[in-house]
Amino acid sequence: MIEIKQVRKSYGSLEVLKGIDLTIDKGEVVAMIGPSGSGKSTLLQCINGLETISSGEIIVDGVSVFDKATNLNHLRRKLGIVFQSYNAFPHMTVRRNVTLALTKVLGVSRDQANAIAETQLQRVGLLAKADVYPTALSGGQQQRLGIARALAMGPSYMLFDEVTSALDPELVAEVLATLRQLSAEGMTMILVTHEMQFAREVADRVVFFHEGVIAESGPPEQIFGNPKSERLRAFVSRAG
Amino acid sequence: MPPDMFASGIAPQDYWLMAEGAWRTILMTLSAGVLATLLGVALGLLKLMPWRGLRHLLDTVTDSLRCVPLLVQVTLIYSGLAVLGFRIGAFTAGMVALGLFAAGYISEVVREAAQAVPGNLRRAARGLGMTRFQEYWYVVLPLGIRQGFPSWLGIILGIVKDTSVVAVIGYVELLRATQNIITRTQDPLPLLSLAAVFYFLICFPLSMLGRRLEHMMNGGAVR
Repeated sequence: MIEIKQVRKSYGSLEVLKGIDLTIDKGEVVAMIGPSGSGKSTLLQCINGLETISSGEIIVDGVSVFDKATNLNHLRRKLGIVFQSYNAFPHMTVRRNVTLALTKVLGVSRDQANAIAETQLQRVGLLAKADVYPTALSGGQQQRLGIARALAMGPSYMLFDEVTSALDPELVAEVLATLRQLSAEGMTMILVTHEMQFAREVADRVVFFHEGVIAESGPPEQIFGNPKSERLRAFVSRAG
Repeated sequence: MPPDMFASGIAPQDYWLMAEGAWRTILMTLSAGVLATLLGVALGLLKLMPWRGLRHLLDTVTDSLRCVPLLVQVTLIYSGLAVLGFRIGAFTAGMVALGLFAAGYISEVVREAAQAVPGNLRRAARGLGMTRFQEYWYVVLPLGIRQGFPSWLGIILGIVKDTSVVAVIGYVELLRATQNIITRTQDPLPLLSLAAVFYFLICFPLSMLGRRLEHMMNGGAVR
């Protein structure tokens, strides 16, 4: 379970998160939507401590992320993250991209890491590309590599930060198919997304961010079918 | 019969003297190059640390190294230390001066190369649970080397030519050896041309080797 309690964050005098409360249960798929700059990506990266917070608390399976005694590197093994920019390591083959952290962070043997990498690459349909360098991959393939790399660590939670935003429209579908498959397998996922149709389809709960606060949240039918606030209504009709 | 331009009093042993000078140029380049690289990398990494005071101090030091003419530095280190009672040889003084001078430049190359590694990649490494050290070792270092290598090689090639400055304290490298012969023959043109050939023979293989390495490093991993 991920518990976000009264989280605030400022960049200088600009407050981007103004007291967020949100709890995500095991097995849930939560979609965070909202206009650019509303704070949703920032919050996502706070969950695994890549961004710091100004006040409040985030607790992952009973461990406080920003407690000084918490080993963040250790905690991050539980929290797979995939970014908008694909972030494949360009100097390593696709296979090595997946095995690097397995061997160096988890201490898995080379053989075992290779076996895990092959399973995960198979899962995202990239096994045939295992021994090429990421530059030889399309954007969609690089993004699926990012997903396989994160999944290989055996996380309990997956964080997706606008993973389709940098993709050409024709490549979005293949990445969404991978996410859909993950949700069907029962993975706990938090998605920051601009794909409203997709959020409506896979999310158990949709959270609407506006100017650093959660303006509205609920099941997708309610958020998209019967938005309460004028803001959300406007956002949903614009985003279509 | 017109006077032959090569029959101008160059004795066979003069070629040998120049080859010896060339060898000393190579030795000086290697020693100063190794010193400059080790020191430059260390300084560059220190400048990347999040300690502002240290960074300002190191910036001041390397800026001074880069702003004071090499000739002055060589003389100061050699004579200055002698005045203070430390007698060091011309070779050591030259190596230290050249090494410090180039280390200032190399530290900047290191800093820029590390900063050119996309922050997103570093974030991805940390997101996978890597420590800061692992982030540097597996991501910043390999990518930074690819980025900084051409500039580093340029600085090393610069050292080859800057060795001639060390002649002022009596280190008889290629150019000084050449000038010694010129004083006798009073005919600079053929000898300087020959010296140029020697410099080229030292630099060109280095440059080729560098291009080779660069190509190898980027094989399949072009960004």
